[in-house]
Amino acid sequence: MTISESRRTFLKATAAAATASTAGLSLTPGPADAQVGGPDIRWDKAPCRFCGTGCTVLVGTKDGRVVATQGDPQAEVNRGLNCVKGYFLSKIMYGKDRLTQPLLRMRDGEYAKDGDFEPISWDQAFDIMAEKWKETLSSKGPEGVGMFGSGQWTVWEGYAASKLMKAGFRSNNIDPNARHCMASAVMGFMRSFGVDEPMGCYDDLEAADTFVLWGSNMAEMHPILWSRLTDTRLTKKDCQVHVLSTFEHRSFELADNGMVFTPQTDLAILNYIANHIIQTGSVDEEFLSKHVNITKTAQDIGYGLRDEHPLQLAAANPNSGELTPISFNEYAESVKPYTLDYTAELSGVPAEKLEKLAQQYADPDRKVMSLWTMGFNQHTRGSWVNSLMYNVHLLTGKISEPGNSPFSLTGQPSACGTAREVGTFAHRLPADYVVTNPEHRAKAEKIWKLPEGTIPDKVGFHAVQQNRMLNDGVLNAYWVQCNNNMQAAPNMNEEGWPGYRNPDNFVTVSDPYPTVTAMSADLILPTAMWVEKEGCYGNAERRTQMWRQQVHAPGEAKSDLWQLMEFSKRFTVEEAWGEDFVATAPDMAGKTLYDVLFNNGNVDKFPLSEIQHGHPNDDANHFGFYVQKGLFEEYAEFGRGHGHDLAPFERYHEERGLRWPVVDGKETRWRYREGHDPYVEAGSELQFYGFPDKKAKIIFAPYEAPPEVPDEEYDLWFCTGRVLEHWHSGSMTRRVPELHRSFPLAVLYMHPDDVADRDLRHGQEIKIKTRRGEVTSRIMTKGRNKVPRGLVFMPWFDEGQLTNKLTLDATCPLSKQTDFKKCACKVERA
Amino acid sequence: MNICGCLVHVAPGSVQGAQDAINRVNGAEVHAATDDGRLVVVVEDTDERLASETIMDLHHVPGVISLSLTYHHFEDLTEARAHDPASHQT
Repeated sequence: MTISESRRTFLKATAAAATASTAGLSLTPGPADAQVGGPDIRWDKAPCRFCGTGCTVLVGTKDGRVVATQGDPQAEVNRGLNCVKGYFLSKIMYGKDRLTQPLLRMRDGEYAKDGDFEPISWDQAFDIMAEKWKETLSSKGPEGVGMFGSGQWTVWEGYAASKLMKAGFRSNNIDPNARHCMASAVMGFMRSFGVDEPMGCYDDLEAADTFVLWGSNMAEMHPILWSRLTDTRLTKKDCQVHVLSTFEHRSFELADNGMVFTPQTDLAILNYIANHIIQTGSVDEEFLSKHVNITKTAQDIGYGLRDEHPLQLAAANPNSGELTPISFNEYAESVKPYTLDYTAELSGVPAEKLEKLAQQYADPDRKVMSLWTMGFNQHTRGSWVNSLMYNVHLLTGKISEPGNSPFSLTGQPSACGTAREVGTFAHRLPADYVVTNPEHRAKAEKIWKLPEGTIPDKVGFHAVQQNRMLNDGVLNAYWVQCNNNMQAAPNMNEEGWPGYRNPDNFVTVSDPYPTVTAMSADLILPTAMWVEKEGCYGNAERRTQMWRQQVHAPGEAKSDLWQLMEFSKRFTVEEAWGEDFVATAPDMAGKTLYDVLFNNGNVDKFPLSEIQHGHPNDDANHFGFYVQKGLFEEYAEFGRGHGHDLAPFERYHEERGLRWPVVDGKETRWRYREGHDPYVEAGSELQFYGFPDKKAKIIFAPYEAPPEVPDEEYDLWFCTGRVLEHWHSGSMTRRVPELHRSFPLAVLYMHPDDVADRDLRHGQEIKIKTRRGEVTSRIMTKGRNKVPRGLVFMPWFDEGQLTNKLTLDATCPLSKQTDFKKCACKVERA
Repeated sequence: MNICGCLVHVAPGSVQGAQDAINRVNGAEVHAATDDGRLVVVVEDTDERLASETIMDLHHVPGVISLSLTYHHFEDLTEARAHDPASHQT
């Protein structure tokens, strides 16, 4: 046996032993934990870099390079398991085209909008960038600058970015890519409960009797949660799984009741279920009277398009989220038209299947967990459909207890922890505070030790609006960090691309790789990723988790945090705030933004001696203090005593995460429920304390048609989404050879009869056309997704097939989240 | 060189069939199985297929409901291979 063969045998035994111990099985004696204890590899925990599940992996580092990963048996979320993306994730750092120095578009040694990218130093990069931002601030004021961030930022990166924009540049033009992903879920929570994020947790995956997937393909997009759900389905007597989608996907393989519905009719199906509950006498009347107010929302609210769009002009109440209290009887009358027959006809789902589904919610002896992701959220009525889901759970009191759980899954590792909890949205501040509330602004200014009136009261530009404003030349100095929005945002042809390339604009993109977005910019900043820095994420079940830096970033790549803080040194408060405002706070005069934001006695409070011995921390060493701890502790002040309590910083380095609120050292698994949630008063059983009267809201909303439906010319529904092997735009997973080879190019899933009708065939190259553009792809009639007649599905990970040239920038008018799931297209021979 | 430990869930009644089918796949070995449908499978690179490709194939074995990895090692054992993934990386 050669050395490599014996090593291989050893590693195979280790792999088998690790797997068996995860499954609670015993193997014949083998070198079970030898690998973990091996002397040549240093193992440490880190949350996965990809989706919002928040699995913990053990990362093995050898000679300054990550060489192995294994599922963390101590992690409650994944219990030693990981999905295929999670296992190859250490390779995301080692793509051969990793960016290692700043690049500027230049001609003849000078910046030129139409120049070619040339390497420059960090000093030169910040020189030109600061020059452009200062020009814009003096000519346009704070509304001319903006930032587009991410649910993949670490907590402190998002916090520093939000602080830099809202207090530093006094502009609320900061929004995260989580707007594309979670905004409708947020709006649903805020409107129904007054507090963001789920009341339940992943423990519901073992406690429920029935699981219902609404617009979520968990089998491919959340495989670890799916394996927990599968385990429950296979081991618990009478457990059922119901799956709803606009096409048949892998999650249908486990479905006891699989339902394919016509796009947008989920609105009607949910109202039918409410009607069924009422008609069969299944309402929990005591729960309803004690804990719920009933309202209806304004109707005919448009589609979040530009104000001058004909569909906006035709709407009776464009963008209105007004709620009107109604009686139970009025509510019952409102859902009454959604009969079984009407809903079956509208949705195309057989009546017996709908009834079987409704019975699960109505039966008081069944614990039901509802799960959803983009199918609900990327929806022109996304805020409505989220609340319609809560209506069903509130009618029956099936909420905030083990197994009864309406649960919004997330797509990014820190969509909750960073984008939502830190509040990196155009209207938000940390811990559910908002910029439009004077008390909330005052609270933030006090914690930040800044003058009264620093934070502007006007809501900034949201994600889709930012691209429109770049296009219109209103937003001129723009910084994109930690996302690939040129590929991800809708209607690239008409808004995104002309916006970035508008000669009035200077666009900076920070990224580890030359993504489509980076290549559309004027300045590219090379960025450290994942375990190349110390980090903190928050997952979909309110779990905050941290990791230590394991390796150094390559070349001159720097973390987003380093970039934000270094850039702040380039501005005096006079330059950023204007002389008039500084005159109202003379003690600030002459200071830099770095001084007032980060050298403020909070952020720089903790010395380098507190950093964990044996691990690098390049950011802290650069700034001379424990910057991550200082930012975290300042941020945590917002939420402590306010329902968003976080534990002390060090605790998170010890634990596999904790679910907030963390009060007296204890995490909270089920919010609003006495005995679980410390904020609920003794003797009250349950309190939805997000609203002053401690009641949740049922919000009636009707079925309304989507803005663009198939017609004679554009005769197919166009739906976009993801596949197991790739994460979102593929900027990381396509650089992992194993994942790339496994699903190299996007395809268009199409029904065989639709293919035959057009005289096309499987595998043929075709053009997909919408009113906004065309993209070349190939037809797929086999494989994992079976689409119904009249609908095609295309994953958008492939930068060679820019799916978002085709999509419409229609959004939910309340959440401003794009509907990537439905517009009209046609398919023709290429 | 990739070696992966996988936990495979199989539909009740398909355990033996799935186990036999997986053992016939070049590069995959079943190391343990339970009556309630859980298999411990180790997958490695072969000359024809990367481990990741084999894993994707296993998803399509009749009876397989879910597949999770629990362990992945990708140390370079300095074996010259046709599909050495390191050649795609720095």
